[in-house]
Amino acid sequence: MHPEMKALIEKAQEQYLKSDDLLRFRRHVASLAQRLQAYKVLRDREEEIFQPIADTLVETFPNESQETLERSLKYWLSAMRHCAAAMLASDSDYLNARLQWLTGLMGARDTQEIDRKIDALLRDRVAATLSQKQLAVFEPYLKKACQHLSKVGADDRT
Amino acid sequence: MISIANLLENEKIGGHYFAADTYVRGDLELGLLENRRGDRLLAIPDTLIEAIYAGLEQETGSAARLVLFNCGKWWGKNFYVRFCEEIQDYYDKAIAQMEMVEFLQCFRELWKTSGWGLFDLDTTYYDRGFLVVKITNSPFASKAPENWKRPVCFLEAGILASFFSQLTGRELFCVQTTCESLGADCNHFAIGLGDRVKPAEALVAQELSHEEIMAKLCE
Repeated sequence: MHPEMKALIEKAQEQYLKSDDLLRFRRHVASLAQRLQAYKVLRDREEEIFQPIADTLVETFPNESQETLERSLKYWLSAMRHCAAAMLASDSDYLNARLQWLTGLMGARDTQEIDRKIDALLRDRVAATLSQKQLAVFEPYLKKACQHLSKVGADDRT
Repeated sequence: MISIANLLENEKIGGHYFAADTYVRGDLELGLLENRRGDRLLAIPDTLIEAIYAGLEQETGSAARLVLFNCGKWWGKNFYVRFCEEIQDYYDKAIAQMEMVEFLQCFRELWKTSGWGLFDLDTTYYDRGFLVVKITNSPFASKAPENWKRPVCFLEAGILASFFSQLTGRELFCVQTTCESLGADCNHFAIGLGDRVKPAEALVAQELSHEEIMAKLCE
């Protein structure tokens, strides 16, 4: 649960929430509706988001094996799911732990160029898929994941 | 041509099974700790670790080290079985089918989530028949008796010996070469076949560094 929302509910045990608190609560509820919509779009259009990325990868890296490209795509599919779940729960810590996990898996591979390409393509695809409002709630998580995973190298494995 | 539809259909995209925020669950009413599969977990407070060291030393003297090592071996045996089952259940594959990096990442995360510190595998001596494990922030080292004046993580050494024995199908032994309790920045464990790694015990007693010990073992 969103930490601020959780704090409000804890406060409501001791007293009725004041108007300011209710306003904050209402903002979070409205934001949750946006997040749910964004989550649903990302879930339903996962294949649509990633297929053009896969096609571009095959063209851009003709000498890479299909297995290598597929493995990279799998990690990024997984990262997107983690981002979506973190957005739904408004929980950056959740995402951090999963990014650290993926970093450990990706760090042993020498695929930084592929990952950087997926990073750029994915940002474009997501921007083209979500509405402005949905993008606003999802982008911070995606940005964090992209920054994290596109820089994973064999030397900075954690 | 890569088909995302096929990729999604044919291969499970597993998450981070051993993440601390989802792996450990508690039931306050019953006072139970469980992992996400429902297996019971045991919480060991610092005081108990200190008491185990002190009690064993008082009851068994210098044999306390052997007792701890053997307890670790038993623990490691069950730990391996449970680890394999969890991997199979969640990732839908056996450990043998996992890539090395996947296996290591799972093991590293489980070790961390179990509260046993940070685990890393050093394969520098792999081609000469030794695995080296590095563990930092070990609770077993931090609560060690000060008067032992030697590496103290016999429990972990037993766990590692047993775990890697089952993993490799060979009877392996494990000797700790450096210890945080003695001011080292991490705990080093040398793992290998018994007759090759056991001489390390005498070298540890001579207070040689980890690198010196490994060099002599590799001679």
